[in-house]
Amino acid sequence: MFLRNFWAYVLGYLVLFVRGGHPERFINLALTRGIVLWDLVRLDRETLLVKVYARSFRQLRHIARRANCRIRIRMKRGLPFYLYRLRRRRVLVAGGFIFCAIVYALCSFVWTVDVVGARRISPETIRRMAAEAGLRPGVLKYKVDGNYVADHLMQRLPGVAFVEVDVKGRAVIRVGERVVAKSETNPCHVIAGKDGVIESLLVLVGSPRVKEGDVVKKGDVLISGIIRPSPGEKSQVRYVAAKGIVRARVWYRSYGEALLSEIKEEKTGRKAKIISLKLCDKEIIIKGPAQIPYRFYRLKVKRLKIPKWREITFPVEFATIEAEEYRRVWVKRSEEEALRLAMERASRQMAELLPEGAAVVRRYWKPVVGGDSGLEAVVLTVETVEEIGVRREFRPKEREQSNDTR
Amino acid sequence: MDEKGGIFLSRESRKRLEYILSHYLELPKEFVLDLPRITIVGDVQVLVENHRGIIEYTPEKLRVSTSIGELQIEGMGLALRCIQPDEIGVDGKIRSVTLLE
Repeated sequence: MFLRNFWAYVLGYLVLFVRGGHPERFINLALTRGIVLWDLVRLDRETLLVKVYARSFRQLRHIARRANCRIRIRMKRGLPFYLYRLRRRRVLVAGGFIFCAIVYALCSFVWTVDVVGARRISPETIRRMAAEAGLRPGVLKYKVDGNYVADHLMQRLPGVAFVEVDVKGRAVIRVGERVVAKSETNPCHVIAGKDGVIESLLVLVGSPRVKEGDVVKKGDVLISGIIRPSPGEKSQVRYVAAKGIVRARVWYRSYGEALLSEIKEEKTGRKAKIISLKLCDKEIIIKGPAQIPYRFYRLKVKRLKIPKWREITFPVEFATIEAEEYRRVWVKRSEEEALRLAMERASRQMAELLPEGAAVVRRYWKPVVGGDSGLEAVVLTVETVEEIGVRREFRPKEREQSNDTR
Repeated sequence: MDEKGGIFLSRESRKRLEYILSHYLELPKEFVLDLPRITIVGDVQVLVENHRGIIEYTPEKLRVSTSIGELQIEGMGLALRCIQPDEIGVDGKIRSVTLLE
């Protein structure tokens, strides 16, 4: 029904009045000639309202004469007639084209340049530099090379870690500023960044608060930036930026376990893709199977919605569902295998824990005994020697008031 | 079989043979036997396939010629939704559908 209406509109159709003694004869003659008629309504004894494709009108005249009927066109409908009428209104058509052209032309300009992420450098400076490289409001979009602008900004702006340029109608320049190390003249302590046992202590500036072999906790002051005059000396308390190398023994612990038997999920490599269209509550599957043909699977669903416009949500949704099949595998391990796996897992965890530059002194394994019998578990302890000193600033006045207990 | 032999059968026996054939081969009878297929949807629509033309049409009554006789549809405000060489669709308030032999 819908399809016929559509074609009727595209091809053009006529609404006709058929007047005469026997409209039935007219209908039958049209039928035998293969002329399609629709929406026939008998208005009164003599008149019949008929819709017919515009192209078969000529034949219909002939038939009407044979059936002793007269036909009169009541309405001409459809695209061809509409276009015909438009031919007389060329300015209107031209206006439509001009409108589209203007919108397209306006779309190809850069209107504004936004700067995101600039804190110390003023956005104005960045805009000025971008304008030097060709990105400024009013230029044509395709004449701006985003990469070139980004390179230019990187070269010209000091203290910028990265620049990203997005050339659009509202161009966006994203800037990441480098964090510059704070000046080293402010008074500060060296504190412990980790728990450990001090292995060696080299004080360059400041007064040491710990000695070798001491157990320290995270946050303890190792080298103080407060230098008090030695007894008998007549001078003021000095505040310095403490500096030094503090190496300590640090222990890390990781745990790994493996079951003697377990059910594992494994990809089989088979996939099913379903593309569906959701209209209100109905779901129409455009492509793919109606149901996922696997027993175990994981889904990846992507939904495409028409964005909300003025509180009107469109009830149309386009969904792509991808199902990946999984297989459940029963894995059995011997105790030895399980132990090896547990160790492997523990070392993998350890690799994440260990910081870079830590010298491993010792590592030892300890199986966890007792507990579940279907389980092999192991604890890995690693001992390292590493630098644990961390600088932290302090305010001299506050320190003095609180009697510098640290 | 008549005296000439071969496939020349009388009209009656040919009909019977066609019927038996269509019955055993489970072919749709409307095609094999050239019968009209009439579909009635509630009291709002009648579809007649395999028709042989319109005899009479008024808003209250529609008569359609078919191979087995005349099909008469009575109702109110009948409108022919579509007319094609092999199909007629009637809309309106249907009161009766009668086969007149």
